Amino acid sequence: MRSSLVGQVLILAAVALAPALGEAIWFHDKISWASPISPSESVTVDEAHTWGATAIWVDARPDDEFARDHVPGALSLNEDRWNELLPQFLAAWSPGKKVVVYCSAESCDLAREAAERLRKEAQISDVFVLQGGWEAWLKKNR
Amino acid sequence: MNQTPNAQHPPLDVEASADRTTSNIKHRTPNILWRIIDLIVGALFIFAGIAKILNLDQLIADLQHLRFASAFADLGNLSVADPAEFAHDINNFRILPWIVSVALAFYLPWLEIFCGLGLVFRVLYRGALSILIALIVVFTLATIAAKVRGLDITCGCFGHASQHWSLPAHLATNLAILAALVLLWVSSRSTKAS
Amino acid sequence: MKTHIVAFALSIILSLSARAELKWEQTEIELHPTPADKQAIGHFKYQNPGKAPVHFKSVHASCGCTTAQTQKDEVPPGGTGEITATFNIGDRTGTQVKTVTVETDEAANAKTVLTLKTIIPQQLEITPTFVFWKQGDKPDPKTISVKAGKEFTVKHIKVTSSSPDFQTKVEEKGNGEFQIDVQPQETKNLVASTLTIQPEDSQKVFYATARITNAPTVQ
Repeated sequence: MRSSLVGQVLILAAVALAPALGEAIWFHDKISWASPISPSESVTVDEAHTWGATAIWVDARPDDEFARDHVPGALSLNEDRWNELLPQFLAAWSPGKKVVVYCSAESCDLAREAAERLRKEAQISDVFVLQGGWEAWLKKNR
Repeated sequence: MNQTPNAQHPPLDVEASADRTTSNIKHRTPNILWRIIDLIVGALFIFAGIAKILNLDQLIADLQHLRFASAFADLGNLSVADPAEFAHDINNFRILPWIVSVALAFYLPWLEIFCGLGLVFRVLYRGALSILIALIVVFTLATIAAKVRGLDITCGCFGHASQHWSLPAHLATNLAILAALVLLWVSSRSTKAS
Repeated sequence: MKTHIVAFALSIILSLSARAELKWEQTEIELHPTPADKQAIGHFKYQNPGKAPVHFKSVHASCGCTTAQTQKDEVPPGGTGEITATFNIGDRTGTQVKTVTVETDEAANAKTVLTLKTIIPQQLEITPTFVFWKQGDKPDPKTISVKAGKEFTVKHIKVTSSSPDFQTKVEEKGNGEFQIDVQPQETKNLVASTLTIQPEDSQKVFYATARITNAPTVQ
């Protein structure tokens, strides 16, 4: 009886594996196995620098942090004043531009949430989250 | 020679068949109850699995508000859920590394669906029950542990679709499902013994 | 069997909660502000069941959008009080979960995390909130879909364009669904307009943007 139970468990576990593998292959470019941000949606500081003038830098941190210091030329776009700040971002954007959104560090969710809103609500493509955030930019540039 | 062999023992056969009929009726009623519980719990897990694979937020909201016409229309507009959402929900428990969270995000929904089907169709029944009991126990303990550690978790039985549930609601649902699974397990064992 | 399971689970929960230094009435509050509310406030009540006073070492929120205040720094034995968590909704949407971490001095690293879950009602769902034409494109109309949120009944909406360079036309599809057709006069100049969308009988205003943009940059 014991082996029958173990056998049943193994069969079910194996049967569920097949569609799961299929789904994982289907979504292979939509989800990153290495980090919580999709590979097609995140960018390193070095990669972003290669984009030069086609990159628009967006600071998703609160106003006071932005005022203290930010990436030169970055636009502030945070959820406290989203409606007020969005038009200035849209004025700077044009098709072909790559948007790089950052917040304080890798663990901060503000950039991911702001990027998501730009993609879903404004339906802007080529929006990327900066890996490592403001901390990573500081390490490379200061 | 006796032309009707059974005629010599008619009272015994009649009594025996009457006993069997009574006994069948006695057992059929509880069997029907267990089957109903099988179907309910099985359907719940199938739904839970599907809710992690497809975007069911709209459908669930319409059903909650008894908007059946809208719900029917929603069925025609279903889209595939972003697996990253469920992976993030698992990752928020901060127990497993990200890579394992992603693997489970793909695997768990299908495991739930197939085990749910096992319950509904009584195929690989006890194996399905074992897996589901293990899943619910692990998940409940993880939820309690996350809460004790003060983590912000929104994952529930129904993946992102149950993200608005409070902790007591999550726990109460898990315990009710666990109770039903354990009852089914005990019943299946006693059926085997008898 | 079911009773044993419930008792077992309850004993785990109770034993874990017995580790908390202050006894909290709730550590999770769910708020449902109205569309007009600018803030959502949660009151986390506590009492000190111990024999010694409890001091608050720190109270800090998970984000700058949430502030938390204690009524007092010290809670005497048997004393009660509350921590008020104020979440500034700003322009946020959907379900927002913010936490307040409270540290006291009663035991080493005595920490409690209070959770404020705010379900922000979305009276209108607007998709997309931005429509654009590249310079030189044909000035064909583009569509913005507007849908009333699940808990709201919206019969009519009013749409105004901040610039005469863009025309708008509203079509009511019924069941709280609307379609806004936006069309520029021409696409020669880089002009923009803020579209103000207001549900009938509502003070709340929503926005979308229409713009003529530069053609894509060629690298």
